[in-house]
Amino acid sequence: MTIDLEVENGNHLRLKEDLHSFLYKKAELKPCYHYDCTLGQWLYTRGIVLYKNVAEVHALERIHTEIHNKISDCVKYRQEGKSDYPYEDTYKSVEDLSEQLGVLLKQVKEKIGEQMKKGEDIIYLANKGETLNKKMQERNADLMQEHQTLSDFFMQAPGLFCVLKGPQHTFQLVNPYYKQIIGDRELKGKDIRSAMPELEGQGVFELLDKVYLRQRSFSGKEIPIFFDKGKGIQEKAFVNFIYKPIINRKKETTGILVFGYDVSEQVNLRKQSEESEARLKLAMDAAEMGSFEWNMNTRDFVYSERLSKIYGYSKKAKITHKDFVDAIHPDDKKIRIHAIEESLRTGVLFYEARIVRPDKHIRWIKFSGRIIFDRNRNPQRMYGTALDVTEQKMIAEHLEKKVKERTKELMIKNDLLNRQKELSESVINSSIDNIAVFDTKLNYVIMNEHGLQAYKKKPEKIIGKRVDKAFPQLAKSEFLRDLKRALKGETIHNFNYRSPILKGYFEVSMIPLKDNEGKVFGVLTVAHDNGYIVEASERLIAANKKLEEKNLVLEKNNRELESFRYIANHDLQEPLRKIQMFTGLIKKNIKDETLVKEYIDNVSKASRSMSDIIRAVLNFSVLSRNDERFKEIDLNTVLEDVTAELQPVIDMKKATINCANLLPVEGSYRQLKQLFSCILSNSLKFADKKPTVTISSKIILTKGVDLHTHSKVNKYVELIFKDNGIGFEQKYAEQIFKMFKRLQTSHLYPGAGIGLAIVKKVVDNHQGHIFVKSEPGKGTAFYIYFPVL
Amino acid sequence: MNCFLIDDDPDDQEIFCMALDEIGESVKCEFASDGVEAIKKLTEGNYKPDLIFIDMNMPRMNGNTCLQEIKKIEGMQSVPVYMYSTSAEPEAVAATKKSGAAGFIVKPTSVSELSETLKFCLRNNV
Repeated sequence: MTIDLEVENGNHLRLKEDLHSFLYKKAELKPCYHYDCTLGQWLYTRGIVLYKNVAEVHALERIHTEIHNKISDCVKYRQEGKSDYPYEDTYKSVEDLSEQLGVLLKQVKEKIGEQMKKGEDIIYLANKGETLNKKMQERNADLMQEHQTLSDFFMQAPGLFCVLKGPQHTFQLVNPYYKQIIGDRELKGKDIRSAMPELEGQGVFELLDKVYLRQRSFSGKEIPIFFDKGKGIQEKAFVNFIYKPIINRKKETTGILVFGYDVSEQVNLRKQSEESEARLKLAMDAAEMGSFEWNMNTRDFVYSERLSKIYGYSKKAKITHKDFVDAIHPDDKKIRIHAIEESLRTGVLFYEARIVRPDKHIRWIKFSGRIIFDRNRNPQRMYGTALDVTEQKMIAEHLEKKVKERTKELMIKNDLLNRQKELSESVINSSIDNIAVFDTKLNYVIMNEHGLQAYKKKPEKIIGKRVDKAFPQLAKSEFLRDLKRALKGETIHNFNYRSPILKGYFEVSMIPLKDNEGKVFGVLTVAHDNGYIVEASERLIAANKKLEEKNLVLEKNNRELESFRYIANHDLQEPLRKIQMFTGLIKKNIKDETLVKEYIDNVSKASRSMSDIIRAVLNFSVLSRNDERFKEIDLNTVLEDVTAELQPVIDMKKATINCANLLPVEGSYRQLKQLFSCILSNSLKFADKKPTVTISSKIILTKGVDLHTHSKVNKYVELIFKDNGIGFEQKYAEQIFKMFKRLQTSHLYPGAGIGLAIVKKVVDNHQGHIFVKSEPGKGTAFYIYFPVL
Repeated sequence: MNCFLIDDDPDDQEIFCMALDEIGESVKCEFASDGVEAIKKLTEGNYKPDLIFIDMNMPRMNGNTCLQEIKKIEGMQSVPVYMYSTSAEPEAVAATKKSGAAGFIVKPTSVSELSETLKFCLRNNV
């Protein structure tokens, strides 16, 4: 055999390529072992033998083996589908190894190329002869070994083995096992009767004699033999054995070959199993378990007494397999069929079914068993047990019934709870208050429909959101602060909370929700719209204000009434007193005509004064009943009417009244006439020369005049009366408008002292203002302002 | 005996004189038409009456104010001052008493009645 090392290099480079294709292009690759390829064959038959001194050849062998092993591993693992094998790393190392192989092949060729060409085969043949010689020697050794093995087998055989010679059965050969069984004693060269005297009476000697004489083999099974093991120990052993006569070519018996083995253990085990079977039967009886065995080939059916009892038969009754099957309740027959089918597949039988006893009683039976198959998996026998589980079933059924009842109860309860939940939800949702529940992290858990509507929000924008995330306006608010307090367990009532979201007033209650242990797990907030209360209180305030105004009017009326009382007590009293006084004097001086005339004048003066007062008071009291409807009044007409009435006085005093066109005002004609009349009368009265009165009017803006009070009106009609009368000191300007206030003595300027009080009253009735400017000797000017509505 | 009547009503002044005449004793009387005039009279010159009568209702200065002003004048504190009025309102009476009035005379309906009252006043203050 010769090889070309260059070709080998090419072959292995190809092999490397094949591995690449196999790994990355899914090409096929069969594993090629290192001793199968041509290089391998050469290495193992020639290379490493002929060139054992060339180090490169050994290196070549090592690298070559490694290449093939790695490729084989790759192919093997890939085919096994192993994914975690480092295929790529292995391929890279194969690449490196192939390169090394190429280098080594070159080196080997350089060293031994010539030699390979010349005489490799000669060396090979010489080598072959050497090998043959070696093989012969090996064969001899094998034979020796075989002989030894046989000897060993005989001596070490796990059976009793001995050879008895002659009619006295003298031990010629005994194996150690034999000695072990019968007790350690010297047997070789002794006859059996003297060597094992304890066998006397057990029939062994007689048997041996018979075999010796009759030249017929004997075999015994499970023969109990008592051995004397020395030191007085008797041991029983069960032995299977063969006595075979040794017959020579002359047909004479020369001895007996004894071969046997100790079966004590098997016999004991069997006995134990028989005992345990009996115990099993006892156990089954105790468990009231019936048992059966059904031969599926012969259809033989064997069963225990307990089974017939379970089936409701008497002890003596004979049950067939058909009876056994027919007893199954018609409704449960399917269960049995299904279980049998299953058992033929799995070998295990298990089912529960009802049986109908001959007396029509129904019992629940639990069947369990096994199927025995032959080698071809044909079912042979069925072993099984049957247990009456009626009571258990009844308990189970009872329990099941209870469970069902309980389930029903729970469902009813659940239903009730659901309805309660719905009810409470509907209660919360039908509330006209804004109700919300927060968890401990200030997140909304619940908000009722009223709240959602009020805030105009959808539940998903609120529920689960932190309060100041859902409503940024609430950050740092009173609400948030209170909520945090409530989470610490405080119940909070805020009776007038102003919502920055709804811009209204609410009565807010925050109630901490606590678990059984008193730990706060949330807060319930109820916000009740206080708007109507606030509105009501606003109305109340307005009503109060009106009342106050009314009160002021009443107070004023009271003051006026007080004045009337004073009038009655004083001002009317005075003229009356004078009348009495002068009539008294008249009576006294009735004869003095001059005096009487004088006193009568005084009396008529006093009664006129009284009449004036009564008229003035009446005029004033009418003014207090200010219930007239105002309309636009032409003041020019008013002035005309008043001057007509006052014409006699005007003529008498030779007075002049100057007047431009007067602006109209909203008011009462009757009252305005009184105003004009009083002022003009005063001007005519308090005059020390020919009176001149100038009346003028114009529109002025409120801000252009000091009214000594706040006014809601923008514009006024300013009406001015100016005279050239006696005037008065400005410090009396306030007093003159009070009733019965006189600045002048009444005998010089008679009058009731009520005129300017009337003027003031009229101005008040018209929501106007009046001021007076005066200087003694220079005249008086009245400034009256009527609002332009 | 010197009396000083402060009253703006000329009729009353006349009646007052008649009543004093009825008493018949040598009683002099001077008049002022209102408080302002009276104060002037009492402070300027050497006039010091023995008795003063003040009408309650007068223009410019009412009776009680007039009384208070008179009481401020030096030497006038000891002069008895009687208030003289048509009506006797309890409040007005109390107020004048507080201001130091010696009495309150309701103007009577006959001269003799007045003279009786004045007689009583004069006798008390001799």
